[in-house]
Amino acid sequence: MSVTHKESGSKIVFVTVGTTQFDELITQVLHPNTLEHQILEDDGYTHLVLQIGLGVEPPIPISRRIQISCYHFKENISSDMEKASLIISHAGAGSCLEALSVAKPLIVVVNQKLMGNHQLELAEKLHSEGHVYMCYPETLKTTIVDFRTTKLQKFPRNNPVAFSAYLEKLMGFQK
Amino acid sequence: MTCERERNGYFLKKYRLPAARAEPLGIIISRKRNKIPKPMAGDYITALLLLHNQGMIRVQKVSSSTGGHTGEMVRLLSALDFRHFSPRLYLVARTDDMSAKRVQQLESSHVSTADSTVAISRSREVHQSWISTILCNGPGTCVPPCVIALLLRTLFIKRSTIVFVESICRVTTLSLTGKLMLYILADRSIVQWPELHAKYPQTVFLGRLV
Repeated sequence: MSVTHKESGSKIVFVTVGTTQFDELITQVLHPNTLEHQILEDDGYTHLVLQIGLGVEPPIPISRRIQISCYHFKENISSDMEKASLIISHAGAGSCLEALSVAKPLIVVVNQKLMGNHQLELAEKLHSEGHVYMCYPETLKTTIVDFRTTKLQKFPRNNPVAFSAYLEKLMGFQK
Repeated sequence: MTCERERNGYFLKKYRLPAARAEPLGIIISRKRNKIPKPMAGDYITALLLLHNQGMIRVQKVSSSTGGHTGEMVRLLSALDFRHFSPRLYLVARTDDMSAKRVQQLESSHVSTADSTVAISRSREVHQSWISTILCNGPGTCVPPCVIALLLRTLFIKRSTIVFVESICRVTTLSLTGKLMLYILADRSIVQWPELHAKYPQTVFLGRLV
């Protein structure tokens, strides 16, 4: 897994909830136990960036060692993902696939409040194949600890060419 | 003549013979109706691409993420040769500006010919007679246009090919829309996980597309 360091030596944790609202995750991340004892005790995270979507802006705790910022939406979060050393994401397919495509260590947090929870299928599959760590907001802390000690499997690239080739053949374009 | 064509049309759909292609209206009355026309250089097959989103969701409805289906559709189209599928009509929900923007981003990032036209429509209805390919990947909102397309096909007005791509989120279960598409509405239904393909052998599996 690649770990990108900015020139200033900063190490960023990026939390994203996509276009949803997931206050439970944000609250857990900002909990003193997570913030000070887990995230900081790791190899020196310097920044915590929260993309909170439709969520309520949380009270930002003041920490001497880690800079915390948050925003609701950005047109494109891929640059934030690329700069991060760890991504903690809700279980939306788009966010997961985007994080996996930039090959960053990824913890996927499932929102149990979702009705019918179709996100769970994908999260469980990715977890069982070792591409991500899956957890719930309550188990986030222990997951961050466990995460350090095990390696993640590289996620294979998607193949949109297979689709376009198929469609072209179906519509009569292929030779 | 028309009865034969109806049987042919039904036969093609039921037994999944290859290449369900669009035919211009003229072929119905010409003798060439059984020949499948090959596109010649400069021929365009038009495409209708459906994007499904619930618009900006309210707090209570966190089950439907707006990013999902549009994001998948954009990734799906990333390798498509837009010169072959032109003009393109995207259907977007009325309140969904985010999807409209992503479509514009996708279109401007593609190197296509200057002649290709793109339209983004907020209506869910399909009336355009030039549509030959319908590509959809979403929830129930994609059903009405497909039903109308099927109706047009049954009435011999326009033969269009409906291709449904199930979401990457579906690993072991097919969505309700997916089942509707697979068994009734779509000519082809594509799934993205081998487990799902094994469960529904009539689907098409091409690997992970998005």
